[in-house]
Amino acid sequence: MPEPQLNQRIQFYLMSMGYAQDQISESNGRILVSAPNDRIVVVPVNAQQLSDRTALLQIVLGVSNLQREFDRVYLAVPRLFAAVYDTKPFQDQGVGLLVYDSRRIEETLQARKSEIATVSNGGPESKPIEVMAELEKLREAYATLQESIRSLREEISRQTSMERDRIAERLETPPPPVSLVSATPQGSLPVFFENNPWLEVLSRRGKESS
Amino acid sequence: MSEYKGKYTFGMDFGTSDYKYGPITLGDEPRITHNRGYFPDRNSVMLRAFQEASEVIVGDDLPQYLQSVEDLSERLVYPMRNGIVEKNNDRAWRVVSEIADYGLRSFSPNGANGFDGYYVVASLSSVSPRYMYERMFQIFKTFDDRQLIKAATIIPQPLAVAIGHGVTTCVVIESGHGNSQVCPISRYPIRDAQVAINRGGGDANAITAEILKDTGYGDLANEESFLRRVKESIGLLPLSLEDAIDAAKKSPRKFRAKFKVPGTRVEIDLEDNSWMRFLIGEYVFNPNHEVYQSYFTRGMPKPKDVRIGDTTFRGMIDFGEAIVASVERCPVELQPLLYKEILLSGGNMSWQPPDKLTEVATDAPTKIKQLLREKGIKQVSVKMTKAPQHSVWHGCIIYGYAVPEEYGWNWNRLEGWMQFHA
Repeated sequence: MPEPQLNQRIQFYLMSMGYAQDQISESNGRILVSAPNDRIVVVPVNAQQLSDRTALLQIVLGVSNLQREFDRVYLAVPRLFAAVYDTKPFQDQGVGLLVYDSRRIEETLQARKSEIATVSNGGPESKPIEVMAELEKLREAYATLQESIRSLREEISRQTSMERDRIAERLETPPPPVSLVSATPQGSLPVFFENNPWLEVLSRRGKESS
Repeated sequence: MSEYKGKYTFGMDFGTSDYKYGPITLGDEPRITHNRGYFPDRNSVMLRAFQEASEVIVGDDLPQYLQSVEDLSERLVYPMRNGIVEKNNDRAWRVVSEIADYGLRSFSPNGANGFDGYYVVASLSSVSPRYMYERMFQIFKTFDDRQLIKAATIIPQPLAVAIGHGVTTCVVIESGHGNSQVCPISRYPIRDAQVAINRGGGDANAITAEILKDTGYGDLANEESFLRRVKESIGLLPLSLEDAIDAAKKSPRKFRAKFKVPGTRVEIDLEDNSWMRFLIGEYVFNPNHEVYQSYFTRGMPKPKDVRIGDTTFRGMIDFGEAIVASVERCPVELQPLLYKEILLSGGNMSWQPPDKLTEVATDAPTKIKQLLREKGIKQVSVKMTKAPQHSVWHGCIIYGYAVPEEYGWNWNRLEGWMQFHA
């Protein structure tokens, strides 16, 4: 059975089990259910993977990792597999089995809720893990802040040093006049002095009275 | 004449609205800032939190410090609004001191160029009483520790106008915001012949406000700066008020007065009342026409004779009569010479008729000629000063440059140099 078709059938099956459509998604060929306090992953396994030892080993090892992330882990296996293999190891590991053939999908072994995932994802008992995650985030934020403060300190130190240099320079050289250009002698008198009879009249002030 | 003064003469023109200042080396144009000071609320949280506020703020940065509109009239002080600073008005004198200091600080040369203090020439209203001279010298004395002033003198503004214009015998009419002065000059200001008039640009604003109220724009008639813009935009000076009103009533469309405030939705349209625009200019030159009586009876204050210091400012005298009264106090031989050079100065003389309305509207020199003709004076020449805005400062600079350093201050003549350091 082509995988996309199988995955779609598993999704329909999960919907028929009461999970909402928007709670079901697909990622890396796996079907994920994000229900409150019940995060499920279904790993579809086809006949070709079962006959390939390496592929099978990868699936088994992958299940172990998935149990850390999800509350319940299911393998969706062909009906033929269920008939041939003993399901006890799965039961011991808490891994559920969905058996499919061309007509239907059935849950032959219910997955046990993963304790690790339960601790990390739900319930009051999961708080320490959540706190740890938050703590980790805070640590990262704190490290970022420390880095920012360090660079700010460097910048302030650089600016202070430059300002000190500027002040020292100013003290060494006399201050320029506020309007040096306009108050500096320019040699000639303004235009309104031209032919002004008052220049003569005023230049005699004080001499007339004496 | 001294080479030193060719470098370090400093002019200060204390006008009613503006303070024009700067050294001789500025060339033709002085620096200009408002002649006003702002006393900030020193308890203001913002001022306390962010800056060391001075007791009084002057100069171009002043608008940055303005606080609420409500307290502006109390805190914003124009010390020379009437040309005279009252003797005991400490706040006004504080502003004068700060403004003078501001001007000098703006041009403080270092000693390397041989600077040993400026020769400062300050120009005050011609009606300034003696105590204003004394107080100004006291203010200059307080700058002594910085050796910014080597010597100072004070001259009346009409004399400075005559000097700046290059005329030694003339009558100067200086018309500012609060009042106007007629001062004959014959090498010296003839102080006894001065006539002061209690009308100026502010009165033109007042009649503009009444016109706006009558034409349905009363809500806009409160703000002085707005009134000034309306006045300058729609106000006209008539050659003859009666002829102008008749012409405007016959052709209201031709004389229609409209003013749109740029950047706003405010538009003033006098429509059929556009003849009123002639009342604005006429009122400053001659408020005696019967048409103004209705405004007086409805509550507009009539310009009164007021005594400020030693001078009586005449309220209702028209400009023509004021010139005649002033000239006739001078020697008879001098009178024809005075009539031949009448100089008009100040922002209140800047009336220009629109090209289409020159039959009935006119400019200030023509109006003055008309008023004098009505009094029987026909041989007259009336001119605007060459640079109305800067002529007083020009006069200060020429005076400071030309008057010999050794001529000490003379309290009888009110001229000469008050020395501050050798």
